[in-house]
Amino acid sequence: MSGAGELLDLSLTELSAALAARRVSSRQATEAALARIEATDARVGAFLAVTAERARARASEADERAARGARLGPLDGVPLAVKDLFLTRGAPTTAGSRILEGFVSPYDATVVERLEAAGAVLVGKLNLDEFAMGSSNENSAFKPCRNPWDLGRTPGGSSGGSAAALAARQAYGTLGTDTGGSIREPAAFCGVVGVKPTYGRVSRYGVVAFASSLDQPGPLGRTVADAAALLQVIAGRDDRDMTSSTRPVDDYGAALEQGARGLTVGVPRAWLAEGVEAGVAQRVKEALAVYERLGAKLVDVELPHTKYGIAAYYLIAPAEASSNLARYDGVRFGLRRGAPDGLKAMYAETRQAGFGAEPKRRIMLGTYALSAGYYDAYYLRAQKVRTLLRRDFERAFERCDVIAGPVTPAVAFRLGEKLQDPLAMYLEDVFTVTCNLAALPGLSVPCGLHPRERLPVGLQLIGRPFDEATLLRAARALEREQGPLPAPGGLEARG
Amino acid sequence: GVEPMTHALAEAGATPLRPDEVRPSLPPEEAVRAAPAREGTFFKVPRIIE
Repeated sequence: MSGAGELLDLSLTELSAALAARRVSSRQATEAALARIEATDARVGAFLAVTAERARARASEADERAARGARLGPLDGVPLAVKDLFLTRGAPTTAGSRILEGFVSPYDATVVERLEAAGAVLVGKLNLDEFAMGSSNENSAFKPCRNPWDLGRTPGGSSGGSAAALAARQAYGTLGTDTGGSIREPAAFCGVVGVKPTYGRVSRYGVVAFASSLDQPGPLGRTVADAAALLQVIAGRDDRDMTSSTRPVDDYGAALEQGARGLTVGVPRAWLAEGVEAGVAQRVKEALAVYERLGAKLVDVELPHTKYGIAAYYLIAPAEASSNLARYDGVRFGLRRGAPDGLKAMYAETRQAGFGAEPKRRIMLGTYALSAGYYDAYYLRAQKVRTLLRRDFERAFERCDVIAGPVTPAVAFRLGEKLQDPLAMYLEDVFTVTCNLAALPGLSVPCGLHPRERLPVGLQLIGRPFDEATLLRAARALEREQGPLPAPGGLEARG
Repeated sequence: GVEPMTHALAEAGATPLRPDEVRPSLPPEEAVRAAPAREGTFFKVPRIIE
């Protein structure tokens, strides 16, 4: 098994090079990934569906292309997996909800089409919080997902499976979505790289919608180069998503190794002042010191309106969700209940039976915030906060190239720890929501293990609109200096 | 006064509208395939008008 183990420890970029050199086949890598999922996923819970036969067929096709010297590119033959929020014709899409249990979409999401056109081998659909609502994957209607670093802890959410599958070496790259931190937080908790691109950088066509002005699909990888390779393939204008930008896609690999010298890093000191656990703050400060040592300049920046971020987010996101989730009514797809009792009964009973507690909570909150008499006081006002946040960041970016700080207030918490009070869970997002609200790119890159708890800590980098290249460059500079995190040990012992 | 951020994309003109031309899209048979109840290419629902 050690041969397969070493194969699974390769980064996506390393595997791609090995496939190109024909030192290994896509079939081998795919079989290793499938075997790993089989051996570990009963404990991890990262996958809601495994598409083994389809994956094997696509792996064989990739090997056939490689034999002809006709490889499609860096992702050809590489086993990947995607959050179960991306529509796929070859597997059900549940959005982590009973209301879509068994639903098979008649079309693929644009990002899925792009990955498959690049030759990627999709091995399955990944666990998530229901309709992307949550920060721990505990809101999945099917099963929780566990953190491979400590199976009693959350991998984060809502893209919990996307981060856990990487940490567990079940796939070489994954896609998630980020509306208020749902890529960056699980990436931080699981010790992997997670990128939320600028709103409009990646197409949302075929992505089950949560909050349409905040949602953004993005890549997760065990290394910065892996995340960059995935972003390169999925980014870019899609005529089927009118909110996707026509701005040309940068070459994310080109600047990756430029290092941190000459970069100015903005530090919002208020973010490190209080409310951040001491071990997390220590690792974040050490990362900032690394940047200085590497030749970057540190400047203090003020983002005075970020303290309103959670309040604004938890009005706007539920408001938009209440509209997006209106389509789950038993008419065209998914669960249907109550039809014999009439149309209204069908709507009510379908949604009562199909939605979990958190979607219901947010639909009610959002509907209220948008209702006549409250729209101006709540939704409109929160939309104004977004403008103020955008201005805070614009002012800061006059003096720096990237902004650095924590991703989360603490390391991964225990399953069940924050379920008593939904608001306690919402506070996990305090550092991440501002990116989505201000429509900026952000990423999480590992910056070490917590000194006592030995769990991953993530550094958040936030950039100017469409400047993912600088974020990736800065993240890579830190990664190169620190070296990779060790693999989480817990799964091996019970192998 | 502060303007609400009604468009998350700051760039004007970054998302041009396409000409209003009919393009191939999902065939009706495909669109109703996942329906809990259907009749031909129609979604079947309980009576709407009492």
